[in-house]
Amino acid sequence: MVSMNAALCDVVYTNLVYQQLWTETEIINFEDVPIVCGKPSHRLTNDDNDNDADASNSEDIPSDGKEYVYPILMHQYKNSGFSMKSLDHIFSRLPDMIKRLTLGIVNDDGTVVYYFIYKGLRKPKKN
Amino acid sequence: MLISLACLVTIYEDRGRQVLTMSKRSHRNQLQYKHALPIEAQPVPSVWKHPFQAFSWILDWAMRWSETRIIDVKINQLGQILVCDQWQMKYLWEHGFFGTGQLSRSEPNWQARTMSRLQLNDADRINLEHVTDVRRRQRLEFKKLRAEFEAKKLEMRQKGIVDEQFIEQERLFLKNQRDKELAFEKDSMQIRDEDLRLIEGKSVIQLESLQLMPVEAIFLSYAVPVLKITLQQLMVSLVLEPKSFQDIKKLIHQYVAYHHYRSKGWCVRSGIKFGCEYLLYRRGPPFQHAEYGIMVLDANQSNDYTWYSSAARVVGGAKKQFVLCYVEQLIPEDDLMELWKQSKYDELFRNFKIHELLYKRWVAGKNRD
Repeated sequence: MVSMNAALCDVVYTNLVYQQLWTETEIINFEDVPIVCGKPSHRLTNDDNDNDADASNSEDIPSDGKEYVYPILMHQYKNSGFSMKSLDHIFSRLPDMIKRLTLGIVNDDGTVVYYFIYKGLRKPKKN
Repeated sequence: MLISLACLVTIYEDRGRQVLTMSKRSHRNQLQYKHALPIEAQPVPSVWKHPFQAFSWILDWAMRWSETRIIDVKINQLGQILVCDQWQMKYLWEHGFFGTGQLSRSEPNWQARTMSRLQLNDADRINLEHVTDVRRRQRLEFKKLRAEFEAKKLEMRQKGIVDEQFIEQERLFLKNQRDKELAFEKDSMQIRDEDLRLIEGKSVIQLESLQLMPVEAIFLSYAVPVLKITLQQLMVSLVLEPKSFQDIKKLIHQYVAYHHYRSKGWCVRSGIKFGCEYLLYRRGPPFQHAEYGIMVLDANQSNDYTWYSSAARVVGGAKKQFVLCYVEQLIPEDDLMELWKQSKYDELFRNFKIHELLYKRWVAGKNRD
């Protein structure tokens, strides 16, 4: 299981560094939760300062501009076993200031896709 | 090469002439992607004109000397089915669009893309991944500016100020931004520390492999046997020691549907981006967009209405038709399981039947013809 996690992190790491062109990328273990952490080549969203009025979550990403990516494996013909409970567990291991997590979903068709997960409620994204 | 370069550049310079350049490109595509599957038919040499070639052809056929299984595959610990040889990767892509480059959108072109990003090759072909990337960034910038204008407008409205001039200014400014978005600009190059590790002389080391979906691998080992792995070896690695039919059901249903569309001549690719199983292309991704999104279902399955409508809206939003593909089992599950255990895959697959339904959203005001 541990070596599989390492292999999964490697896939996401390579994808971020060489397809998405992230910099300062590294794999950090927050106890049992492995996270690929790095800086995107450009801003990912305009919504970061959107909730200014609401002081409690005005700062979604730390000021150093780093994003936290949690890798998961997905097969089209099997269940991933991912649940709200496991998400909660991941957030509980991360530093408190991190309000946004990015899922790095490694699909069995050769693609890696990324989805934001926010802690708590968020104003919907503007199109 | 000259023609292709010219044609790519004009596409982005002049959208009005797009139709013309597209036809040039499609001609090039037709030459490059001549074969719809990884088989190349060879004409039988004439016995009278080339007796020797004809004789060796017959011998070859009779003795089964020409091996069709030519592609090496590697299955790693994540269960990813990988083709790593350069020639083989290109071959599978060009013969029916099998697999996806692990560091590309679909065609495995990471190495060439990276070389052009680092300006290591002479031809600076504009690649589509790069165009998309620049467009996305521009759009993000546009949305940010629009949000700023809206915030200002809100502030003015709250103070009770109505400024026609400001609104006109906003409209013009946003329009300019939009127009800028359409003109493609190549941005300057940056070499990161990460890139230095890649450069080897005047080239870039190859980091990318071609990954096959499980169903693609089954097809290329069973229906058109070009992979060096046997079907049995492959199946065992996909589902380790299944306890009941439930463990293999989804894989088999998905394969049966995949095989169905491939054998009807469609180019079938993963539909995961649109929340369905497959996308059907008439010829392949370089030719035109996918026309259909396929959802594979058990024939006995019935979902809540909202499930169908939400799935259909996602596929419909991408301008594709939504097809429900029902897979019916003709014999009991225990018998199917027994066939799997005995590796009688031929017989196993034969005991399924496909039924299809096209699901279309109907809007009274719009669909009158």
